[in-house]
Amino acid sequence: MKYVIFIVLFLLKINALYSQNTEKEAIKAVVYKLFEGFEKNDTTIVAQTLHKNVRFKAIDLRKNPASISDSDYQKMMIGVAKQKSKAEIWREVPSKFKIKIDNQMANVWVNYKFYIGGKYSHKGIDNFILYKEKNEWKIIFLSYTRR
Amino acid sequence: MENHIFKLYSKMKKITYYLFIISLSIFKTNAQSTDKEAIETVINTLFKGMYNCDSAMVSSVFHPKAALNSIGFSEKSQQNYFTSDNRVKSFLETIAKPKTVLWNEAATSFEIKIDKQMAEAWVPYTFHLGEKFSHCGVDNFVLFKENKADVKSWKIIYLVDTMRKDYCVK
Repeated sequence: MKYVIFIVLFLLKINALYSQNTEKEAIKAVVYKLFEGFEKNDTTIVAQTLHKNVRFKAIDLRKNPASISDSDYQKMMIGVAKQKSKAEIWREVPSKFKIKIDNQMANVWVNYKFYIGGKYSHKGIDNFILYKEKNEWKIIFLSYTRR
Repeated sequence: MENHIFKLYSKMKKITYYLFIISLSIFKTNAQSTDKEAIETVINTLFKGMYNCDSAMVSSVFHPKAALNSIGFSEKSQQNYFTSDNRVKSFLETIAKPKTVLWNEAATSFEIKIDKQMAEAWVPYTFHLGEKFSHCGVDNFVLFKENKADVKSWKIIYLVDTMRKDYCVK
């Protein structure tokens, strides 16, 4: 009997870990989709990843003292929609995802490198917060450092 | 003989080099832990201010452009909800009101990540109204260090929390 309980608990644990992993993959996919939208200049793709009330905070460490600036959904869309020449195309490359989930809330802490027109521009950390609306994860907050 | 001395010399150089690197990394961890301690203090100050109905104390931990949001599940509509655009101002007004049962929020644990002047704190909490358990969840704080040389200059720039009645983080 003891063994049966143990096995059931073990399977439940595996199941929980498995569903956490699928959630993490879904969250990563949102981040990749946002970057895909950047690269393609595509507001429709970007819009799918963002909550309408999303907030952005940029922390620029290249300045002394470091500056903090705000942005929102509309400003972001204008930036993405702006037609860019080949030399201006945004490409953001993430690495080392660290993801935490609590029910409908998730946090992503991830290193990034930013290229403009194929040329390295800057790097830093992206700190995303996501909310699971119905069955979709949407970005509600993003703060990032630049250096 | 000369060769010997040279070898010894280069070995010492190596050792000094490693000692230097080790001390640097110790120094770095130290700096991180003081930042972490400072951030925990900011969060505990927030809870203390809430408990004391002290809006000045609560206000002191927030950046002027901070936002406060909540995430949860509504029993009524049977849907997840996200309340956005909650300004610190209305929160402070609620704090300032004298209460018969005090707001007692406490952190269960702190998980903090720092990148120079940006930090993220993942803080499971419990909330009691007076002595009575009300709800629990996770507070996700984002903080900005206004002055890189001042460990006391961390301010909350964003806070979103989850709320629920059970399945509290132990």
